[in-house]
Amino acid sequence: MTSTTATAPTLEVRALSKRYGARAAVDALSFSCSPGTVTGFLGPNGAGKSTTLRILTGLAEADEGMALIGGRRYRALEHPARTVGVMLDARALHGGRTGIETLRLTARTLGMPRDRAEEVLETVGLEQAATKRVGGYSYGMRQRLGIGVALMGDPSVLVLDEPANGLDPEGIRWMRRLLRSFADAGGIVLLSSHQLREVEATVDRLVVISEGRLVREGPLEELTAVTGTRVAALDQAALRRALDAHGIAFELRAGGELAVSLAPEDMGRLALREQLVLTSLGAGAGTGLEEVFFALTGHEEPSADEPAPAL
Amino acid sequence: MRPDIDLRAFLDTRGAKILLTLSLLAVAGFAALGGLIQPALVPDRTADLEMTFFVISLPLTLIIPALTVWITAGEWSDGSIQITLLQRPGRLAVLTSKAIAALVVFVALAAVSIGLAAASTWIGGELIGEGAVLSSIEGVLTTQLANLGATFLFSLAMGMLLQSTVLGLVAAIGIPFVIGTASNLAMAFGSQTLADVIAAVDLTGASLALANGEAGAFELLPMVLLVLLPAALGTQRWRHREIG
Repeated sequence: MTSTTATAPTLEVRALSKRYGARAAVDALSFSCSPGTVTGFLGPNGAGKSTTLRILTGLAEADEGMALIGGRRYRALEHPARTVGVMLDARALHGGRTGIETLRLTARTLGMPRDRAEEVLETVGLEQAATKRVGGYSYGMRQRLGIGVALMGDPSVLVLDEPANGLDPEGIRWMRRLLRSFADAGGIVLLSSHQLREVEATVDRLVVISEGRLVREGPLEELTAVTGTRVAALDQAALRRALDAHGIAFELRAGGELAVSLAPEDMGRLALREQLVLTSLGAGAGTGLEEVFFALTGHEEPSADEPAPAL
Repeated sequence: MRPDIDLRAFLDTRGAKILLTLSLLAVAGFAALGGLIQPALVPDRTADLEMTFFVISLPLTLIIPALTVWITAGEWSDGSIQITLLQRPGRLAVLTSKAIAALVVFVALAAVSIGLAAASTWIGGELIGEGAVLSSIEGVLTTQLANLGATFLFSLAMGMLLQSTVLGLVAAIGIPFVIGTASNLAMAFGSQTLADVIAAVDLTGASLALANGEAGAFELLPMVLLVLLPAALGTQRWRHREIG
């Protein structure tokens, strides 16, 4: 297992921008991650998550702004792979090597002892597949090996793109425990994921982006807390104006409803005072990450017969 | 720079093991063909080292581009460059390291080929024929090696520039073939202008002139156009190309 200490450097993205032609993939994005936290990095497809992670890890260059780890760019770190463990795409692992060869080569590249490869192989639970070629691995096994490669240098920061993809339920539990213990040991974990329920069960902070911009950043509990009341009015524009005028926070929810940070009775009084005809009014249920996600990114929630969200 | 890592990364893949095995078998087979059969084909029943090496150079003109392009550009094609650059983010150092690894493989291959050529020439000449001519080693070390060196340098430049195994191989093998054919056509048509244009990109001709000590400023032109320019453009592309 990793021996991460409490001295992990801070991960910081400052006013990062990246354009591809006329399209802004990342637009003045800023956020930070502190030691001891698992941060979920969420956004719809094309929101700029992968571009941000690639800039953070030196695989792409920013047009403006910077992504820093311990105050330095990835490429400027003295031993980058021993400071930051990265797994962006498990398909990038060479299919012509065996699992143990892959880890031994990584150990040699990073200047780690040879037996570290066996140690990591055990950590990621691939002992039985050690001598099997990676080309013959399932996607979940590749993910495990990719995480193993990321852990090889005993880093204090982990950056993972879709780490739960392809993992079976046991594998997801394993990963959750691994990331939790990594953070509890003082490390930083930044992970993007399609699987919101897994994110909800793993992370303690969220960074939500949409169209390259930061939408919300904060502790998971804060973002998914009971948000008061769900309300809709005959004249939605007037309802919004009234809420704005009273400085009451609200968020758009699926079906045109607003989630308002007021108790239902207070919302009713406000509607009476503003002479608004309400078409629905009710206490907000405990908001799940999925609802928060759709509300924050402005994307419609898929109907029940649609496939699971790919975010 | 870690050429040892790049060599190992190349050698421990199954594809490279297969390619190297086939390459060595081809070199050994052509060495046997050149050295052992030669006495039966030449009037004085001798075996000449330079002729044997010339026969070996036929597969080498395919093997050298294959190995060189694979080492320099293979990781771009299979996507594993992402892992390499995450672990070694100094891109110029990785490129230089891969070029050194390719050079080491080329030198080793050339040395093995010369050794096999000498052995089969000796066996063919002394044990089967009327004698072995090993004194032509000078021709092997100048003319023949210059030719193979040009092949290596051009392949290296194509691997660096195109950063794709398939495109690199097509260019490294196809362009010299096209230039050679065009050169023959220019001679057949007797067009001096066409011959001059082709000579400006005839790296093999320039390397032979260089090896024979006959090279002038004009012979540097193919080196600039086919090696230095693509290598410089490839280096620039290597430094800035985005991954993923």
